[in-house]
Amino acid sequence: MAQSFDPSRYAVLIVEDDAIVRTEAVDLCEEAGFSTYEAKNADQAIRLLERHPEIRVLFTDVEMPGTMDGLKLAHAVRDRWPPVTIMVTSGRIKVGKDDMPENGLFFAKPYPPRGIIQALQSVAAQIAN
Amino acid sequence: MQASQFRSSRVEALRSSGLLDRSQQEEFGQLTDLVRDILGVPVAIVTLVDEQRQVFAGHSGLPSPWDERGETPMTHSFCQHVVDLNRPLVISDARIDPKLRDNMAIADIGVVAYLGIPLSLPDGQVVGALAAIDSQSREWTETDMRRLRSISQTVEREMSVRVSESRWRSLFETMQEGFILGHVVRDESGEIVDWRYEIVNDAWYDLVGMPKGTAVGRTVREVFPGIEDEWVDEIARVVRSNKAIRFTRQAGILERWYDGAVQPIGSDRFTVIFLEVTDRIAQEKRQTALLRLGDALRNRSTVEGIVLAATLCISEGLAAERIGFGTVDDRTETIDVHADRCAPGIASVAGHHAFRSFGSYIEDLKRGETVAISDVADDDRTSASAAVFASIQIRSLLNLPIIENGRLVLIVFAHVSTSHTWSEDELNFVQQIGDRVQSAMGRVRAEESQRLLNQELAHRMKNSLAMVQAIATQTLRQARTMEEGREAIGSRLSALANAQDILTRANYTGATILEIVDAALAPHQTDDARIEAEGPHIDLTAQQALGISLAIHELATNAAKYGALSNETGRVTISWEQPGGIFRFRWIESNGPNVTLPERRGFGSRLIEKIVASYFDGKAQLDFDPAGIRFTLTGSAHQIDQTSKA
Repeated sequence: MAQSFDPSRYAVLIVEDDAIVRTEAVDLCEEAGFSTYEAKNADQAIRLLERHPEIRVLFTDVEMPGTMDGLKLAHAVRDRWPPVTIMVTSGRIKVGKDDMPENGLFFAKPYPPRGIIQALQSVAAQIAN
Repeated sequence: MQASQFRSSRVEALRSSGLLDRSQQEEFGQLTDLVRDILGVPVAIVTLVDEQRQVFAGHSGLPSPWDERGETPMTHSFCQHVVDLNRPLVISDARIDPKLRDNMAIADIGVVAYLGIPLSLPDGQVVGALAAIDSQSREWTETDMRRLRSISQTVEREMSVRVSESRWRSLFETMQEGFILGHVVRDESGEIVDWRYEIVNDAWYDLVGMPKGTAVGRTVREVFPGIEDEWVDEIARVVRSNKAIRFTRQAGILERWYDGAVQPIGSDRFTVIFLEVTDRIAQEKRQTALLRLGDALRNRSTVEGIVLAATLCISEGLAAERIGFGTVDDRTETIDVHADRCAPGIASVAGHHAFRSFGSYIEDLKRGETVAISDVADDDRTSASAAVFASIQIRSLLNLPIIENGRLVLIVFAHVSTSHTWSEDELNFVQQIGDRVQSAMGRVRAEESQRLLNQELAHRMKNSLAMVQAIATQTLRQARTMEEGREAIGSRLSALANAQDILTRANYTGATILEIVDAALAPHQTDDARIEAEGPHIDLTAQQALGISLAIHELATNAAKYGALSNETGRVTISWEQPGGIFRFRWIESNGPNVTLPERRGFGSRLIEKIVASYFDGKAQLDFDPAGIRFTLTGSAHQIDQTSKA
């Protein structure tokens, strides 16, 4: 089973309104072996989640334009797509534990690429098992 | 003229001497008796010569009705001549004296022979005469004169004592300090249990607020039922120890403060001299409260904390029955009172209230004016609502408005259930609290916005670093050599920094496209200006500004290496427009070397095509036309939602 596991069948949804930062995040996630989808805001993200069940990880920024910020998105995803692993990043000094959805992971900006890759690899390992 | 002036200053002196007081005849009567005996005359008088009359300060042997009247008109006065001349007047027979023969005293009082000596006050003013009178003619001897003069000296000494005593009495009656002469009252075992008023002055009645004449003969416990024991115990200590003390104490039942001294004078008696210092004590309390408020405000960092401290300060410095504060909604003109401090028997007004149900004074509060109403029934702003006030036990009130950014946000209030005239001191006190609260609020708000600013700055910095990280990582991913990577990262970051400068000047709200293009071109422009840029005024968001900067940087760098700026003749034309809301930006190279497709497409082209397009929600295309590179960006320039993340 583990040997035949191919993480590229699963996707990470990257939600980030800054295109430069998003581009780099996409590369990181692909480096970890996943396919990727990109969204500039929460509305786009929800539409992608609805259409692509292979999305197993949400990697979202907190501050972004639109009606919903990254934390609201994360909570919505936790409710509607419980298996999706949630990773949140922000340049804000603090995102309170209470603000995060259950089992969500937080990465302060700028995040260490290795930390993201390791987190994604452990998600891949969980899916594989 | 000379005489009348002389008279008036003399009359003045006489009148202010207190000698005209009728109660003082006794002493001088003994001396006129003495004159009668020693000189053997039927009548002797001490006269005080007033303006229109002469008054007998003492007399012996005067016939009726003059003895009863105690004075005569000037028509009957021999003594006025003594006073005017300021020397003895010796008359053997007035009936034949050219100056006196028409004087009515001859017929009416029976004055025939007259010997008068002038009498002076201690300051030398001649005010009257001592006279010996006979009803028959008489030759006055040197001995008579010597004896009468001798007695006149005694009269003058007595007058000087009277004048002095009168001065002291007048001082006693007119002084502002209250004075008590009293003696202690002991029970059967000899314990001092009370004390009795013997003498009090007028000021005493004023200072304690009692009707004149109601204290003498009564004890302090009778006059002030329920007065604190300390007012008796302290006097008892003074009498027992025979030592004077000073005191500053409140008479609770009078709600007044007194400051004074108790002096023992022997035989269980004592004097008290004191002043009311209620205002001074209240002022001291207010000063202390203000000092404490100053200390408290330094340590408060919330508006709530500041207003609580102000409320406490008011309760320390004002004698109000209900004190509190409420937050105001100036649009609905309502106030929410969260909690208030109430005296026993006064109900809380915590809750939601509409200002207009209480009259029109909210207009003054909105202007930042303190409202002090001594009686709601009498004030134009509140008289129509007096019944509403009565229902919540308010007769007089004080409202201190707290203004923020020109809007009424809070009110600190003090209520009294009876009418109360707010004194200048009280109003100043409240005004000072208001000033302190306003400045403390200003400080707290400034600290708050400083904190927010710092947070925002940290946030932006983190986002900038994330962008730098992305550029660096992306560049390094594609770099063939370390040298190439270092060069590319360095130039891209400096392009980013140039755009940041413009955004900082614009306070991160965005910038115009011309500013951005000029700044981005500056490091690449040739001496012969082969890059031309033209287009209308268009505003860009912060992200778009950074995107365009980076795109121009990439295009210009490529043009210098391989394109139109790599030979002597090539040109670059940059243009932008926004027809019908569609933003279009073009970079067109011409007259350069022949363009060939690059072997590989790096981060630079990804940046130009994909990333920059994303900032404009549009499309970007890079054509490697053999005649020259063409870059076209189409999208919308200015998004409505501008969560800038520079």
